[in-house]
Amino acid sequence: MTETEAASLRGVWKRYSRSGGWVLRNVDLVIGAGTVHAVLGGNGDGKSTLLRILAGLSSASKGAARRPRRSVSYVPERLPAALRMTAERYLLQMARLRGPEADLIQARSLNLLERLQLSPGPDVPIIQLSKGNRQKVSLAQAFGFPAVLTVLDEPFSGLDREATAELRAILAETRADGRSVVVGAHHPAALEDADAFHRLTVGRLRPAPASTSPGSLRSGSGPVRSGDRLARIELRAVEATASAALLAELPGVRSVDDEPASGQVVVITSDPDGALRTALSHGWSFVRGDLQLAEAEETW
Amino acid sequence: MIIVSLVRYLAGDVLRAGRWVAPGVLFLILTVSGTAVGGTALGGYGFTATALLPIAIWVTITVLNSEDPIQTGITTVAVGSALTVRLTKLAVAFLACQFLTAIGVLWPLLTGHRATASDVLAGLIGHLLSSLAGVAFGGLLSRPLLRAPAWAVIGGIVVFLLEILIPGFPPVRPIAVSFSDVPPTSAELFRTLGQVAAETVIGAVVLIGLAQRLAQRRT
Repeated sequence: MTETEAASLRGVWKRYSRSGGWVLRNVDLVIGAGTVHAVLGGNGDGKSTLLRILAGLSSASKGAARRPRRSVSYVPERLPAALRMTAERYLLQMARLRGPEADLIQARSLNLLERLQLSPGPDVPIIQLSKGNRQKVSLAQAFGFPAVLTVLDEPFSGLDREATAELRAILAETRADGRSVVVGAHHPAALEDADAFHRLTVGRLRPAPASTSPGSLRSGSGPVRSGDRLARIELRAVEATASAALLAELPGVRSVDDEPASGQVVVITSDPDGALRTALSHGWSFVRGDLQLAEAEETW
Repeated sequence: MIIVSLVRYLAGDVLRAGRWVAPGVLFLILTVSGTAVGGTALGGYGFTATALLPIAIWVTITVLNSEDPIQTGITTVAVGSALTVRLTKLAVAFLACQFLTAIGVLWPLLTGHRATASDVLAGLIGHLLSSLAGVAFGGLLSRPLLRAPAWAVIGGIVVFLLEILIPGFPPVRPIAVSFSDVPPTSAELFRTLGQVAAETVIGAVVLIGLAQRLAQRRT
């Protein structure tokens, strides 16, 4: 690991038993100091396993994983609901595990909770908090400590629009401090500012194409309306006329993830009917779709 | 400092969950009923040290399974070592068992059983060894090695039966035999205890190391 490198995975393979299948296959990933990396993948593609290896919670079956031993923060996909203490107490307990500067770390965490607008407040037992508010506590726990590497698994899950914007600001500040962040997510919504995108597909990690960035592909249909539902549609090019750029211009389309190797694209849209109509008449074939992906308000 | 904070956090979590009440009360009942007929304190210690083994397994499983596995991930990253977190949980379980040791050793004295200083010392050592073995076996019967409580219960019963039925299996069978109502001389008693202590400590280290290795594989 060099001075400009916060963590790295080199030739990492992972399986959980000798007879089990490979969850990760020959994964290479170098996290530079002061960078934000987005690892995109669907359910079962190995995203959480990769993040757990980066966080030091799981070991690689083959290959080398390097990370700062005592300067990592971690946000799991969800904070347990049944934590038997208030958010304030929890943050103090976690801060004490970091060493002598517990009071300072707890103060930073409480400040982050204010920024993320925890409701009803830090003196309420975590068991009484909603999923989104538990996520805020989890984020405050992670960013209260100035870790060299912060690993986030679906950090935007359950956050409202204001908290999403605040988390993006926190990510930017973390990067400006020279610290690194790896974010695992199903799709690139709210990650426009990431320095690098990676696509994990059935355990294989590849640099995601530039078109993954939703900033460059967002349609001209204006801001997402509250209550819009996003659909995920997979399409396969069957004619030479099939154009990913055309799909990106359709109303309601939020992102188009081009996978040239398979000739497939993944379209995230709030108007699946319109996108499908146009796609099918322009050289695309329908592969599969998830029409109840998420509330647009939650993911953007 | 971090270890002290970790012990406080883990012990607080176990206390708040309240799952320690059942094994604690059961041991108290066993101690009171098992020493009710009188006789020497040493005979009572043979019984309570034996009873402490399955209770220590139960306490250890309770401590190791108390924290949600997802929260264990956060705790481990904060501390920086899965080994430290696991060993600290085992230490918390061992410390919790020493409250039971205090009950087991003091109760016969408080209820008028005959005891010499060497009897009390032998009883204390017997309870310490029994709880150490219970903690080591409990580590093998808890998360992430065994997730289903039913298998943990069956495993605990099998371990206890092996301990009391196989002659010479350290620590409880030799302790119970040497503490029986025809007491040997102190020299013989402590020679036996020394041998059982060496076997138990080595066995516990092996079992804890094995559990740690298996736990690493499961994650």
